[in-house]
Amino acid sequence: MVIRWRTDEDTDSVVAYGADPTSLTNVAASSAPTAEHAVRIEGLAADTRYYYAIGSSTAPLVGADDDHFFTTAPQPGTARPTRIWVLGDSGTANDNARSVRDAYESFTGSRGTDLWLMLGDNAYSDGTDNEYQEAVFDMYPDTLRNAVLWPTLGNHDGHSADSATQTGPYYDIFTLPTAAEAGGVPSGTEAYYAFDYANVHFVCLDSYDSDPDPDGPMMTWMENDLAATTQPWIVAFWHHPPYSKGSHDSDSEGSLEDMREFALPILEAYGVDLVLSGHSHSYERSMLLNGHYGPSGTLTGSMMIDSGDGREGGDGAYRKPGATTEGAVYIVAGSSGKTSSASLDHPAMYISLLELGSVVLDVDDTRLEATFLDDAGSAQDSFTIQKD
Amino acid sequence: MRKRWQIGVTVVIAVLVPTSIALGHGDVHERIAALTEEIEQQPGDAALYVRRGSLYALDESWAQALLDYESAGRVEPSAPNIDFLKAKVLVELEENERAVALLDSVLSQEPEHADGYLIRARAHVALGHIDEGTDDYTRAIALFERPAPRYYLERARALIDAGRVDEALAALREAVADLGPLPSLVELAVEEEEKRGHYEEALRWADLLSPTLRHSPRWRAIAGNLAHQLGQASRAEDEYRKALAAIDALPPARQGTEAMTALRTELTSRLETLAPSLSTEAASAYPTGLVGQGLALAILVALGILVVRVRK
Repeated sequence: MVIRWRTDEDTDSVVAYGADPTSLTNVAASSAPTAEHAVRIEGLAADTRYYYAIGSSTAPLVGADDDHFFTTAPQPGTARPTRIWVLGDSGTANDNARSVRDAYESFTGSRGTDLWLMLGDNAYSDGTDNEYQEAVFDMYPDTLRNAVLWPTLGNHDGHSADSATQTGPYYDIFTLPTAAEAGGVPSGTEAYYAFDYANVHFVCLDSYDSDPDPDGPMMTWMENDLAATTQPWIVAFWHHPPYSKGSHDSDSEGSLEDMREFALPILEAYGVDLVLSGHSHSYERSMLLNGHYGPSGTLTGSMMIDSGDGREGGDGAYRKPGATTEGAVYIVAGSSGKTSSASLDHPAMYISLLELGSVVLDVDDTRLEATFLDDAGSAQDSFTIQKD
Repeated sequence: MRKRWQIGVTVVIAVLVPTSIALGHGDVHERIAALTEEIEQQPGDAALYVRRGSLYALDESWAQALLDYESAGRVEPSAPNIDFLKAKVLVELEENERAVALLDSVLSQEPEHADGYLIRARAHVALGHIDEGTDDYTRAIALFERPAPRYYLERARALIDAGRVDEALAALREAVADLGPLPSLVELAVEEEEKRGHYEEALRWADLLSPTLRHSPRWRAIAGNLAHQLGQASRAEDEYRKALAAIDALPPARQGTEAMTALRTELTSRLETLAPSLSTEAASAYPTGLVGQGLALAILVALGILVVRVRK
């Protein structure tokens, strides 16, 4: 676990932590004076809540109370109810983003969040440090304190960041795994990475600034990573959607086409279950698909493994029982900060909505439930993938 | 205690009050159109041309990007980084000699310009100047604080394409030393060793991988293939069987994937192909077995004689 914070003057860095907020008996520290603090805590027990306080060797700053805690990830492979909050293009730092946040916080209540994903364009318009301050740190202070945030790079974040050199505010702000610190296979870069949480394997790709060529380092890494995982669930996420007729068109925009043509065949060959992306400022959710790598006009019936709604109260959950691995659902969730009108008529989509909102994923053993929660707190879409 | 933290946060916010928004949100073409309007109103602002040029570059409209960078240079000859930006676009336009000339000038003035070396490396390689290109890659890698795996791979591939495989493998070894045994690096090295028939070396490269990856069905299968090519049938069989066992140990959702199903079929087929080689290997081991068996028989016979003698 890495805890990060910022101060107005250089000091050393100290994190005190323990199972009881009134008795933080363990300490992790870094003696180098800095205003950008990042303290790595090793040797934590899995699936355990720790309370913490941050500060320097001369003065604690904040924490040692009921509000400052984190819960470590369960052992990989362990089936444990997991709630994942997914935000896409949330970086507007305005009332839209606030209403989406408030709707989710009201929805999740004391259940809390186990981990959260940001699908890129996390801070408009250029992903600068001050934009991150407003759109991320000032916007989500409570969730940031308690749950690990896993981001991907959007095109707007990429205005001020460079994946090849891992420089710029995005790379300065986040500490992401390069050497499989959180599971998976080492990628050697923070631009794309993998991690495990409970029985889910997450794969994050960089669709903006890393070479998407099938023989390039990112796809080579991904294929090896997928070949090595033993996790029952695979969720992949990146910014540019493989299928969209939102404010971006996957039939005519290079980055979207590249990801569809290059990433999807590998992911599907290894049984990916869910792919999340943003970029288009809408919510678009596919049927259970397999093998659709061309433009929207090439979608055929045989590529629709299940064209129903995926709802247990409707056409029934999408089923991938036993060793049946074909079929993934593709979600564009780029409306967490704004909506932008478009035709919203991609034939792979079961539903397309021009609504502000975020996606809530609940994974419990062999069942994955997804809900699109609008900014008023109403569930505008839901579906289930069932594996037994 | 809390007060100090709040002061810290306040200061951060105060320092980071939003400055001008460099680019509005919207797709590239909309933003280009917006900048075109701005340029019409302020034709003497070099920064506007640079920003529009960058958008054209993002859109891979290289010729238009170059025109904008040239306009920026005309409007403000001292505008920063213009020659570098032009050189970057020239490489995309495959005008590599012009790019090299510009970058020679840039790098003579800014010898720590890592991106400059990187772009010049690509231009040199495209021109077939492999030594100059690999030297520039090496300088760029040294200057970047956290160089990407792709730079090491580009350098190695340039050497491979030039037929300089030993140097490419040395470059990959350096990459592994710097970045760790990433699959993209090791896979390329294994492929090259295999192509030139150095199967034992290829296996040594594979053994550098993290245990999670080396013991995955995919890499067990690759190792089995290499052992087979070495003529080591039993070693190949061992890897293939372990690969199959690793597939069997996966959860059902992973066992049945297209990739694992194809791998299982391949492994089964390879094991069948191996059978004659395994018989030959066993047969070639027979003389040793005969010696052993003969010795055991001699000992038994001797013991029998002893027993007979004692009974007598």
